Amino acid sequence: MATNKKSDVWQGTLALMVLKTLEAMGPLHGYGMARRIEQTSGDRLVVNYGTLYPALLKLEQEGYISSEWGVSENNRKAKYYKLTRAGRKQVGREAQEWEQTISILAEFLTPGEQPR
Amino acid sequence: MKALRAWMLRIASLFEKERRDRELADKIESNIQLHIEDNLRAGMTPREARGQALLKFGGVEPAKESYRERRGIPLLETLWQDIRFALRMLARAPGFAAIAVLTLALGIGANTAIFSVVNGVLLNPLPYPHPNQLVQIAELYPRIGEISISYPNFLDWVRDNHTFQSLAAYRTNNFSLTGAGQPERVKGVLVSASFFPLLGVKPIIGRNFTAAEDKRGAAPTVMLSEGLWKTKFNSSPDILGKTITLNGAPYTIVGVVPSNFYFCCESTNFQPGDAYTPIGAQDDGEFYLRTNHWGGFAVGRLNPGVTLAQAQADMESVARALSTAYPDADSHSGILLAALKGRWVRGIKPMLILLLAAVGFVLLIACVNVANLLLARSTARSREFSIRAALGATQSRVIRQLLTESALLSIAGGALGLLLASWGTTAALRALPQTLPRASDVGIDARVLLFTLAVCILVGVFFGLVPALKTSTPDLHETLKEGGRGTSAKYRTQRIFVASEIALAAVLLIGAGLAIRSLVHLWNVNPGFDAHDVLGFGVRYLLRSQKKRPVSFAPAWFSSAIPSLPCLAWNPFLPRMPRPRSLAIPRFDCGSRVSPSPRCYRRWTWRSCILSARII
Repeated sequence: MATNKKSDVWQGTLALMVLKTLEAMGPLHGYGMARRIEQTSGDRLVVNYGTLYPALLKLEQEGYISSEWGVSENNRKAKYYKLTRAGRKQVGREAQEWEQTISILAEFLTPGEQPR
Repeated sequence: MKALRAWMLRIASLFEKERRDRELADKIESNIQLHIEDNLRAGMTPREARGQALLKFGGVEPAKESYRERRGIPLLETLWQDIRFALRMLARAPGFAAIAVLTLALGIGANTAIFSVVNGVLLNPLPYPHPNQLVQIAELYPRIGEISISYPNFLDWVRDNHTFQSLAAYRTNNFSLTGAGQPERVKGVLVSASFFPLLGVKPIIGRNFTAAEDKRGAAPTVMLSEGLWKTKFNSSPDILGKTITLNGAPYTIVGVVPSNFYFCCESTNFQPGDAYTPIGAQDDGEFYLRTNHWGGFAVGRLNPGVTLAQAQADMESVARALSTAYPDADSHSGILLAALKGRWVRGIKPMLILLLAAVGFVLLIACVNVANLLLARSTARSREFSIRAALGATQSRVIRQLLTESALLSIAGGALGLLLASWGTTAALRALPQTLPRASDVGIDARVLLFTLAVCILVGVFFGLVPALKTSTPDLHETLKEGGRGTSAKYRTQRIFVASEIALAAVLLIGAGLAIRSLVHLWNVNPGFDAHDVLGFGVRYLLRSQKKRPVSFAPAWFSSAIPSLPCLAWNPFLPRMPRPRSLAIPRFDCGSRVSPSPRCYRRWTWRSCILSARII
């Protein structure tokens, strides 16, 4: 039942998704970023703009991304976000942290292999 | 670092809000447009494309709101909103605002004033380098307690102690200054050569006394106060090395003591003098008697790291050695050390704490008063709050609004109170300059300001909270229907306020009554004679010769010079008012030196009646 229901992005993971997406795709506008994240998740995630915009702002305030007005492929004005140098470093760091978290959680989710 | 950068940007974004809001709207608009274009390309009709895009985007306003919350500092922005609103509300009720602010100004002002005295006198360190090393020293005598020290004993302490860097003795000793204009009686102090160096006092010009000048038989030297130097010698720098005549003898001036030198006062038997002379240069046989406790005390500076208890133990062993060596003079005496600051404020401390408590009660009464006013006003405003609640304001939001209002009142009151206090303390200190030790240290400094600010905030919350809690939970239905009629619960709170106010006032009234009663008792202390219409004054003679001869001409001279004087008694010792604590009986030692008007003197002594007496 829950498997085919789309879920919202979990708190705390959105920043990494944004950084990772920017790393992979280069400069992107907010709309493009939302679409990309949804696509990457195989449309299992829904990006809420009420969450995405503050998250982008926070990353910008922290200096991981920067933004400027640009023009889209079909000539529409849009705000483009790109990684800064600090942002590039942060992607690696945060990805590593998440991998660690996931591997720890995995230990709990496969209880048969737990050493006693 | 990152967090700091983020905060700076958030603070920056408190400005230029309109531009930033426009940019956000543009961003959202472009986002939706991009989506519509995508949808069109996917083959939707324009209507459908737009509808889908808007649907996908979700609520525009909530998105903007959550963006703004991240952009700025929401707490600060709502606070600013609340302050502006509160100012408007207060401006609309100027009478209420004025009364509340004045009430609070009195309460906070009184507290600030007393606290600035407490701060200056009790809390601030003494105005010397390493003030915690300073110790006051007296001798102890059985059945009497503290007595002044004997100079030979003092010299032995200096020699035998192991815990002091330095010790200095002092004693008040006034002089008659002649030969420099009008003859004048100047306050003088005999001090050890180590006295000023010990306290870290540097002469403005000249030098401190040398150890050689502090020896018996040394040539007389003197240090002047800056005040005397100014008035008598016009601040002339070539005064050094010149002589002045004190008590008929020439003294060489070696230095000038700066006017900011301060040493307290009644509790240490010290008065700042105009002429300081070396104590050891006294050429008086009696002074060197070990049994002569001549009214002087000592001050000492402990070695670094030595505690008062260690020094006390050290001096007690010194005292024991002395009592073995001089059984006649020192068999009973001990030595008492006290931290200098504690000694200075010993007499005044309980009174200051009492005053602080009293003004604390005044502030409480002011608070309750203003709380009551706020409560009465909130009855009138309950409709406003009902409407706000109906529109979705949470209780905590309304409480915050109301607390902002009360904090604003208390801060306005505090600012006014601070003015009152700074003006009031200056006036009060000018009126009683002698009674308070360290009066010059009293002032409004950072700690006092902090205290006032803390009081303001506490007071604001204290008197604002109860009315806020009462008003923020209105019965929506009832209030809106009835147009804001108070409920019985509100009246109950008001009754509690009034009751506690009366209770507090009663405590203050009783306290004040008791204090006045004690004062009346003090006034009515029986001095042992009929003090009605009796004036006392002292006359000093310059005896040209060392030989002391009775001066018998003076009473007659006064009687003829002041014809209205009905009766003049002449006594080499004027009886002092007995101090209430020590209950000493004044000594009427007239002996053979009876005044020229014995009738008069008899009348005076007749009225005194000694109930019981013992040697003092």
